[in-house]
Amino acid sequence: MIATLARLRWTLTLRAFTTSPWQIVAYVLAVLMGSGCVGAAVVAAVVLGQGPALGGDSATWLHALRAVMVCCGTAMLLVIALLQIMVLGEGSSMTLRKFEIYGIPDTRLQMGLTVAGLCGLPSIVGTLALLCWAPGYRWMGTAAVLSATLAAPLIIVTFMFLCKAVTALATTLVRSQRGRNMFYIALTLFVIVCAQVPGLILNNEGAISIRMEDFAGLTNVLGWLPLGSLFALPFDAQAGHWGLWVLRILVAAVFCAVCFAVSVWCIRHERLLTDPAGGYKAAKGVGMFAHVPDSPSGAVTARVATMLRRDPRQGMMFVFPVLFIAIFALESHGVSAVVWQAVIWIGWVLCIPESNGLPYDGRGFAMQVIAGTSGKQDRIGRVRLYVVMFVALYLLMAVAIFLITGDWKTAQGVEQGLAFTVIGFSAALAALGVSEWFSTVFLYPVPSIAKPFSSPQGRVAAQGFFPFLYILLSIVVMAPTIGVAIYALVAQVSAWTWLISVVAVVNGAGILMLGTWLGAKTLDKRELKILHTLEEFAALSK
Amino acid sequence: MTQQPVSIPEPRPMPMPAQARPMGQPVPPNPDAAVSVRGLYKRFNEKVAVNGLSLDIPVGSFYGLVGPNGAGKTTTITMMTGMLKPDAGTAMVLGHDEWSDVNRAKQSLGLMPQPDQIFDLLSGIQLLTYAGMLRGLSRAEVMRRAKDLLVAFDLTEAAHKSVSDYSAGMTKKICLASAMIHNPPILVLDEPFEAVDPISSANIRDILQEYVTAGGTVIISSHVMALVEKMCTHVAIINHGQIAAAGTVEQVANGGDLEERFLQLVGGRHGAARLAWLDAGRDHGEASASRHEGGER
Repeated sequence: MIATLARLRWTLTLRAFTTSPWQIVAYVLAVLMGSGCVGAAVVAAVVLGQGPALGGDSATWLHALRAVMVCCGTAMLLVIALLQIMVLGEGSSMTLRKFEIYGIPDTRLQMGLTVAGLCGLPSIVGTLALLCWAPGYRWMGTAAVLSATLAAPLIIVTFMFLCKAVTALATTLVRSQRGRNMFYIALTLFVIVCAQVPGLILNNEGAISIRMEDFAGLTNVLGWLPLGSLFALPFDAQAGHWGLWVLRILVAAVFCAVCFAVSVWCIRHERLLTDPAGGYKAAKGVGMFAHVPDSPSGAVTARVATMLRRDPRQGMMFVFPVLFIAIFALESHGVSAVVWQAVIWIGWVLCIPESNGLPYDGRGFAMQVIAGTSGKQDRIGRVRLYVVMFVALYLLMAVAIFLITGDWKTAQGVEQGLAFTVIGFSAALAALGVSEWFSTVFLYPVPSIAKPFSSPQGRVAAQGFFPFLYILLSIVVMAPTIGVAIYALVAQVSAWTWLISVVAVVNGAGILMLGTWLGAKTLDKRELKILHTLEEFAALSK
Repeated sequence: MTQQPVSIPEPRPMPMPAQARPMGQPVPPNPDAAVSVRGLYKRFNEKVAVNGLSLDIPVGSFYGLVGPNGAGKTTTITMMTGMLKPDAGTAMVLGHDEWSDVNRAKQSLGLMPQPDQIFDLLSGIQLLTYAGMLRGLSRAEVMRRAKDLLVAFDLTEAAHKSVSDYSAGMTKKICLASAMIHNPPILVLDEPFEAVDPISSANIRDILQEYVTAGGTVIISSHVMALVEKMCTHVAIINHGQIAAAGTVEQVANGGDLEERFLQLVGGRHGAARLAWLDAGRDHGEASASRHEGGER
């Protein structure tokens, strides 16, 4: 059974290649990235394996390497585990539910799925990279190298057990739609904040001093925790602490057993429960449909607004303004312009989901096609909503930043704040214009709304590339404003705030109109093709 | 409009509308028909889904499209309703060429979306309001009709619940309601009674019959031959992307049972095939026992 599931994983992967050449492209990219990781590990092992010969004494090398391997190894595995839940989820092809009807004993099924996970490309790359890194300990002796070689697959196995348990728990415990939305948003925020911590620490080095000794205590603790314990094996071997060496392996083994038990418990729990209880609470009236213009485009506005409120995949974007302002405020060192410039980035980031708006609509887009809604009605309906939201959002952000920076106290501060707000708003309009066209041409699959923690096959490559392309375009279309801003700075124009603001408004509004018009035309032309593409995306998420 | 049943001689005939026509001269679409298609052709990679299909659906008829799985019913419906562009052929809706102004043609059609083609995060009443407003109806009129439809489909209590919380049958009903809200002259329903309970099914049948009596045209696809025989005035049997027979139910049944006639035209029914191992699990105990013994040995 276990071997069958492992084979099934590869059969599904190979089968996916025949459905679309993009699957092959994405996989080749993944292989290249994996090869890069392995190559980097080889280089690191060759260079750092010389140890103290490179400079410094053995004791310092030992302490530093131990701290880096145990602390960074643990942190990296934790971040990957979090990303696994948030971005990749349980995977859409081999979920527990798909095997429910076969009556496979829970332990065998879970073990099969874990082994199938271990046979995947990420696990293979991870194991190879760690194996290639093992000679990096050669200056510590043969025992250390052998221990690292043994630890390499064990680390990946432990990590896989952790991932399976965490994903199963996330899927099983967060059952209601509302709970799932909250969990998704909280998790995303947590990852973003975690990613910002090193930057914040380094930026505030005056306030926080970090010494090697501070890491020693942390390394000792993490060295006895399951994810760090295996990274500490070469150091025990080098010191000849074979008792500790065995104990650390036992810690990881017990952890794997606990994770496995949790995963199996989740399967049982899932099986005994029916579908997620309770979706959204009953709404009164028709909600947004009562407050929009009485027209097809009004219907689109109301529908998109209602979906945005209920869709965790898009709704979480609106947490970014708070996050951006908070992060830039912490890093501003009293320079208010650093905080103000956040409003320029926010517009671009907020429009990322809209730049792929139709796949978020999914097959529901068929309702518009059935009704014969024109591209113009659709685009105007969407633009109306975003413009209204941007107006409210930029006003709120301006007020918040004025209060944080205290710029409202001086005329110069007020002028600067208003200029940034207007420029930011204009950039957001331009980004929206780009999105309205972009989303009719470049579509990539998104996780299904019912399973925001799942990953449609072949999504990762496109999901990384297309948003990048969209942001690049959004910046390029603001070239007139950027050009004028550079000129104003170089020529030291005294009324630079007014000059740039006026150009930005014309630039942003112009791109919005152009993008909306072009998007409408393209949508009219490609409507059926888009519908077909959305159907293919929906099939990927099944 | 009268149509003569067309059976399949071997080899399969070129698809043609029921009317007699001189050899070699294509018959133009019938402008008096609710829907008239000629030579519809659609190919997906190597598979020809619809192979030159021609059909006239009279105004005021209750028209059933039947056929085995993969026969091309759904593809025909999607091409008829402007949801899929044919590779060749024409379609006319109430005398207007569908593809010259597809959005205009869609105003005359009420195509029932499939349950996964709706925004199920909306509540039932929001979904109907959305469908109605998309069709250009005023909000007040949409609200009035939505309430009537919710009563008619027995969904009043669930009106404010998210459609994602509906049962399969309720979802089917709200889909049907969303297709009717703009009072189209032609309703097109793909498997409308699938997963619907018998009471709701009877209610829906009454609504549809009333709609036909008022002059509307209903086109349904179904696998349930008894239902088609009972409800439809006309039927077309589709096989291998072509019309095997079309006409009134009586004409196609040819004096016999419609299901028998269907099987006769479509073929593919096996004789009393018997799978030697399929014995209701009787061998299961023996196999387990022998495995057990083998294990002990």
